[in-house]
Amino acid sequence: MTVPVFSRPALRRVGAASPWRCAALGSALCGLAALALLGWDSLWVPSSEGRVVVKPRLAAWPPAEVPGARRDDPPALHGLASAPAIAPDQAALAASFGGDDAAQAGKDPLQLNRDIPVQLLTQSRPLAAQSFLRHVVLRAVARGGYVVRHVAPGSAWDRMGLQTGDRIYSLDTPAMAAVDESSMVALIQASVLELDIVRNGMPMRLSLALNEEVAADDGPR
Amino acid sequence: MYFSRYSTVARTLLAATLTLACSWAAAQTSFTSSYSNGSTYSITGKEPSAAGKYPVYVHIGGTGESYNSAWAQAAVDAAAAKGFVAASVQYDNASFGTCAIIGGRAKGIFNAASASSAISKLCARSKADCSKGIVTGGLSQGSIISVLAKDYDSRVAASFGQGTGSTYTAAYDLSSCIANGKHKQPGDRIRVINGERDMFVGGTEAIARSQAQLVTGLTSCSGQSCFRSNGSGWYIVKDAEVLDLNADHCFMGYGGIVGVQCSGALVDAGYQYGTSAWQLNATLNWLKTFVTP
Repeated sequence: MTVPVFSRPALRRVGAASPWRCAALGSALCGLAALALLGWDSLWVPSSEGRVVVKPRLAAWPPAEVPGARRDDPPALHGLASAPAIAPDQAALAASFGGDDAAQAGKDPLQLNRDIPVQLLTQSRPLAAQSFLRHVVLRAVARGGYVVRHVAPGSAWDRMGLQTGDRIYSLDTPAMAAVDESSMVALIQASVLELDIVRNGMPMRLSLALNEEVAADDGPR
Repeated sequence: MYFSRYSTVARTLLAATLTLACSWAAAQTSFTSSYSNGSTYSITGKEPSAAGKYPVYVHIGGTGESYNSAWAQAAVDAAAAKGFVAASVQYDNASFGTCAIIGGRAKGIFNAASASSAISKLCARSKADCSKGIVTGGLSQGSIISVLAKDYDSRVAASFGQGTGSTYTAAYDLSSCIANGKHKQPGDRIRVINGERDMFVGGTEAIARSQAQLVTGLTSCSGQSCFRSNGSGWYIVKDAEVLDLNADHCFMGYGGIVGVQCSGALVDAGYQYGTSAWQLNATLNWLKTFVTP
């Protein structure tokens, strides 16, 4: 008899022909059941910075309050950096960078970011990465990724809601990575900016419509 | 053997002669600088080698275009050869934008009130005399910035734009800042040059024309071109006029993929060295009429 949930061809192939595969599948199911009972948050590991961090929670993706977010998007982080190490208390983390925030205001973000290679932020969009580093000051985290130290007020990143203390691992979301920066056509046609971040331990996707006029003091008229 | 040796010597002499001739003919000196608009941006330029004070030409490239691209460099070279302190400026052009966004970029370049703006840095050069006049030119987003320049520096005497319109694809409507009367540059100080296959401002000759009319305010005639008595107005470049037979958004480009907009990284030789109304020489000669030599 075939259980309906196992009726998909991909899983049916695992079937009785391979007892080893059955055993492996059983072990995996047991592991998942244990995780469900104990909770993902039980996997505490010490970070290399001496703080206690927790591995990422598979939160509902993305939270409803994130503008432009799509619920069917996976919480994947399309970065080159390693798996995220998330501080348990975002507020404390942000506060720890508060001094930086004040100190960085007025300084050239490019200079402050001079040790951050563009290629670690993106696989396909060096122009976007350069633009990002002109407006957002980052600090590399030993375990991978970057913490936002300062966001230039009024910049696209500020308007999309990026905050001090947010963590980023890559600028590439599926939609953004598809923009061919060697094509002026593609760049002008891009009308949405997206960024995956981790805030308060929760992955979320920020987005901004580039073609929506906003009230700005520095407008042409 | 002897032939080979003589050939090598001859080639060396020829190269040296050409180098000397070029440097004499150009009589220009390259320079680099930088300015700040929240972050540091680069400026690259050329100015006449001869002693004197010169008006200033500022070139602004398009979205994603390097500030020292072959297209920008061609404009800078031509302007310097005509007696301008000429420069191409880098800006945050990784994306297009709204009037507020592009206006902010224009302000960073042309804010006469800020010592850190690009125009202040250029006007501070020993060979620059901005009281003789500033003129601007650009492509696409750079052309919008070119037209908006006078909003931030009253010394900007005239502006030209290539690939200029108020509607860039269906996504961006810039009419609130780029339509004639919505910016401080008078319509009779603007020259717009659009390709007939410019897909951003329309995709057809008729739409490219109407977009140029909207920016310059010159609606009194149709056809391929329309100029006022002072040379302001617009021109629609036809396919047959460019070497790659594709007068697209970046009609000055050459060497790209046939039919693909803005794919030619090289410069159309006619655009660079010709004398037709849409080509660099004529455009810069027109700009020169608004400054003091």
